[in-house]
Amino acid sequence: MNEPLVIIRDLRLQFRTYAGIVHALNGIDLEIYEQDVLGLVGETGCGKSMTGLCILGLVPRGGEIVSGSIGFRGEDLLTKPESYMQQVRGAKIAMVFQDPSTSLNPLFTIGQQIETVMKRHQQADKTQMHERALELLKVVELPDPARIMDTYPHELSGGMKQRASIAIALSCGADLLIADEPTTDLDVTVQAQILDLLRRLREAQGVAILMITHDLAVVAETCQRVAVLYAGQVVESGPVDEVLYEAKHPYTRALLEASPKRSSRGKTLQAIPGTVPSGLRPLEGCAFSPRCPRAMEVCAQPPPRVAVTPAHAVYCYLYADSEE
Amino acid sequence: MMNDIGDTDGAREAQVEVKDLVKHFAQRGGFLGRNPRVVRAVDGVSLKIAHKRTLGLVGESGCGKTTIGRCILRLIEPTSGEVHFEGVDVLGLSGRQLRRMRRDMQMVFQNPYSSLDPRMSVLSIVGEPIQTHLSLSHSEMRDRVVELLEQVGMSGDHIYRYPHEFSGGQLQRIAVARALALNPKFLVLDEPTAALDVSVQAQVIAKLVELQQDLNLTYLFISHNLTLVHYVSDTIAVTYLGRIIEHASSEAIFDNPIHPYTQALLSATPSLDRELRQQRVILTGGVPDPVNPPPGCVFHPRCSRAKDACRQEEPRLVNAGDGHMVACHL
Repeated sequence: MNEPLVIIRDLRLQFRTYAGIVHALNGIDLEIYEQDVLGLVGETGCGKSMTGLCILGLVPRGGEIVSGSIGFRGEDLLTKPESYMQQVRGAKIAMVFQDPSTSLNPLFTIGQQIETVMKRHQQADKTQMHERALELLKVVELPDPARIMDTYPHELSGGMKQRASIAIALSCGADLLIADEPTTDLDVTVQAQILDLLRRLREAQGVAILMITHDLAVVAETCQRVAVLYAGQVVESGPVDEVLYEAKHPYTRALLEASPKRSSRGKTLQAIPGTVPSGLRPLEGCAFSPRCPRAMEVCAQPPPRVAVTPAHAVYCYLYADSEE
Repeated sequence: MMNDIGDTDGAREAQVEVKDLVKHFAQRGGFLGRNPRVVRAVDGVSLKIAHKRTLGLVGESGCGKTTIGRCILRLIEPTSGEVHFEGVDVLGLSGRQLRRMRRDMQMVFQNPYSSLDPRMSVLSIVGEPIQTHLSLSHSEMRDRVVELLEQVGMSGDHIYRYPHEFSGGQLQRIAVARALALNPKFLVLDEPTAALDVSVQAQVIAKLVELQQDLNLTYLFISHNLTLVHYVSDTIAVTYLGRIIEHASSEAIFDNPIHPYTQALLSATPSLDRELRQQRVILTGGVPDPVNPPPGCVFHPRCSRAKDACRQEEPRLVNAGDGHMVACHL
């Protein structure tokens, strides 16, 4: 855990729509370390998935990155041409999507889909690729890999499909795996299997994982570090134990209060008053201040980054004084 | 045997009672449908819910939770079994009697984006049950709709708006207002917050708990989220492959789960409580095909402690003390 694998600085993404410019990301700062699992949490529309897509250079049509940098092993990906990104995608940075039944191609067997990715990025003959694909299916703990190679996605259950798509993502030895809500569509018992697999893959394959999720409990169980997003900005980031159990930012606290916990029975779940700000208006000051119970006048200014501990940062005026 | 479920409710009269409910769906299969298959969605479910109480129904997808809820309201006809609401046999009712009964029993569906008609205004959505069941003048109906919206914490000015103008949490509150329009006594809540963010979920759940207090409602709360069910329910029934495998008070299910499936489900649930992050039991495989369930205990292929008896004989739901019902040979 020395030099970060990925360094994102001041990433801003906008979409042109008929209603005006939507400010999707408003200056994201993130670091992902080697062999680290970083959780990216937030509610619908806060920019979690867009951050993942920006790293891969897959911003949807109409979107434009207006500023910022994404450093990957010292190279700024935002300055690279599409041909370079094609070499990176799948080989260095791979993605696991939320719904494996739509991310896998229904017309090809699992084996063919793994080999397609390898053919694109590696020089290997057919038998080598076949063996490597079999091995990958073993790594993701699918039973009877030889049979799975020749099955089509519809023959597999949701959990098995997600394992297969993880195998595809790992096929070229990626350094970073972006997992976008990988277990949201799965049942809890299957979710536990997949999360456990990802945890062990990080140890065995040495791959760093960016875990995009809306579920704080999933973060608590699988990640080492977490960044909490609100309205396209990081509001708090740091080690999981510090951010979740010694939360500083009022939004992180409110989110934790709103999540049902076993110990919360009999108490009232605290709803957050108000709604998420519209992306149509550019942000001035702290995005959470209109809903914040402790908002002050200074909150109309952009919040400062305050280091609570060397690894734990919060973007809030409430802690600005304690720094000096 | 069944009347002391969830101990504290022992003395209370059950408002809703379900006995041996079975729902089989016929599925066409084979060439030209010559090989029909039977999906055993619900296979012998018995439940009791006391007045003003909440029963949480939890289980994974495909275990029959929603089908049980719909059968109780007769939105689909059960294959066999009995459903009693305040002593009345719901399944024996004629069409007209059933419609009368529906005033007392209503449902809130999972996804408000699809359960509310995008071409109807809020006034006509919430007013529709009133129009169908009661003869009120238009202005009386409008006053009632405004009252209902205010009851679920929304402004009465919204009656001429359409669903696309609202957020998910607001839509779900409109769906709750529609369900409350006829002053029901019993609500089936089918994953009412599954489509919502946590902060919005907290708003909707808080509102539902408040309404239950104010309007003396009985809830059947269907969800796959154990932590949430534990939060809202007095008693919990755990379903697996169309059967109830454990049924007890909310505390008993969480503090002392007996069935290996309940234990695995609890341990698989990601938790924010730091002290609960221990080593977990991870089940292998998935839920079996309900077309041909395994013989004996339906859970035995995934159970680490299965013995011979589990493979042969299906366990019955028995009282393991204090009204804690469990279906397991162990």
